Amino acid sequence: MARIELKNVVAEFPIYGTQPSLRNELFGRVVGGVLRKQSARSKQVVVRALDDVSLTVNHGDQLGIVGHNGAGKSTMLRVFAGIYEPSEGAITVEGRVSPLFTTSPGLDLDDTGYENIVTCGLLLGMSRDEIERKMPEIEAFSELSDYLSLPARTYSAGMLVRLGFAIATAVEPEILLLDEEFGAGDARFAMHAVERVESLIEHSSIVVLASQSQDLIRRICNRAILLDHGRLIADGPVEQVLEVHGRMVREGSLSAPPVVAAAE
Amino acid sequence: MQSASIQYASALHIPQSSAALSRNRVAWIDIIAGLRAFDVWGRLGWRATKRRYRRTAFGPFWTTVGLALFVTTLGMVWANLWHRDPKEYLPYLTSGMVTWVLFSTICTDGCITFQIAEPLLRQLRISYTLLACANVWRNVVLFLHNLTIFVLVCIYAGVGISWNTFLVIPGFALFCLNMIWLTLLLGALCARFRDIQQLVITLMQIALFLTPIFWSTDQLTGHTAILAELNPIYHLIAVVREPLLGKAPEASHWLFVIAMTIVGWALTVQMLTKFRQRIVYWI
Repeated sequence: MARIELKNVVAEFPIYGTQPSLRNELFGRVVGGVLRKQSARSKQVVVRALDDVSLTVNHGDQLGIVGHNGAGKSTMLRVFAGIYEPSEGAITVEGRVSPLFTTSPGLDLDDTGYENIVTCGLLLGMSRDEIERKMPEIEAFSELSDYLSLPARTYSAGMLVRLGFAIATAVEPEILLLDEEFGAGDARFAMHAVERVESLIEHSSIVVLASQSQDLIRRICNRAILLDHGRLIADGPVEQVLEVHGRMVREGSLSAPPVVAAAE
Repeated sequence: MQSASIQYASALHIPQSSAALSRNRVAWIDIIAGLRAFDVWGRLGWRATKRRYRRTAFGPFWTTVGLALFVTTLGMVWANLWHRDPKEYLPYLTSGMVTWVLFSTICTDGCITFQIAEPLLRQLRISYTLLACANVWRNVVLFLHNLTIFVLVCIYAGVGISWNTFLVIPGFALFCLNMIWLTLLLGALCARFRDIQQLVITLMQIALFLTPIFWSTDQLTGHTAILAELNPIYHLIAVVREPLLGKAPEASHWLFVIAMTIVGWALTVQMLTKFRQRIVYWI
């Protein structure tokens, strides 16, 4: 039974190669994370991306993560994936995790589609036999046909997403972690992807999706959380959370995306 | 709860549960699962070599050609200069040089192993040891390319195969075991402190001349000879080179290398215990 449990989790990023400066003070006002000096002794600058988050995700949860740019959505996914270990608090993740964030893990643009399926499949924990068995399914779902024999360099962004999605979902993960970028495919693919996730939900137990798209969240998720400045603001049924999100955006109480930063 | 999370212990899914798992335990899982995942690191290293063949006829053999020219031309000059028999000197130089190239490229590539793997490390909770093994394996494949020069030189010089030649198996295994921990330490260190990589490159250039590759220890006298004996690279190369030349490495070489293996891995376990979870923030 898959399960994710976070207790008072704090995730902080040390930033190397910057002196604490006025620039950081300014950034602190415009981006989501809270910039702070760890202590007076060490001049280390850290970004607090998640702040005291407690959460339990259970079998059957299709969790949507909403929030503006830099609110901590991607960090949250990476904490679930075990990439960023919390600097404070405790985390337990039980279940086979399959991530689909930007590109497929291990994807090499010089290799052909077929070669990449084997490499990525192995990295996602499939055996060679398993990959061999799933190959027709991956071929069919990616809809890349002859392109699979060409180097991935020749693929469009959407085609890469299709390939990545086909591999990531073929492992039949217990926990599937999706970042919004998987929506980069065209409308027809987006529809297929949603169907695929829906079919996965039947046997995979947890799906987590971080997205700006309310439609996607409504379609896939049965629970949502709202993040702001790395804090958990709301947790509950999708409509309820989206309503809180909408209200906060209208009231302007969520910090705006970092527009001012561009002027720096 | 503990058993439930450890059930997923593999090189690709290092279990995470801050309550049930000590950092030391995670470090050990990283190492053992990483070494055992030979199908994955084998694939990663092999693909990297295959890519070097793409659109070229000889691929990595070009490095071999360069190395072959280096050892034959300079070998002849030096043999003449030091009044040594080319049939004795050339195999000595070639075996040393081929092993040295393996050592130095693993070190310089090791410095950037984790930085290059950034996209992977930001997506999977993967074993760092697995990545180190891939680095060593990739360079071993190139070493096998370069070994063809040595085989040709052996045919020219009439160096045959003897029982001692088979000592290359334990010798090479120990060599690789050391290169894996060295990659882990260098990879982590260079990810955090970017200057180290430049330092390693510079040191490698000097170490080539300070290590008995072109010359042999019996040409030295006095204090210099003792200093040469303290050079760890000398012993590491000797356990591969001597069997290749049909000789049994001296006991001191074996002892030194075994001691290095133990000390190196002990350090690496400490490093992974303390900093494993930090590396991803450094890259």
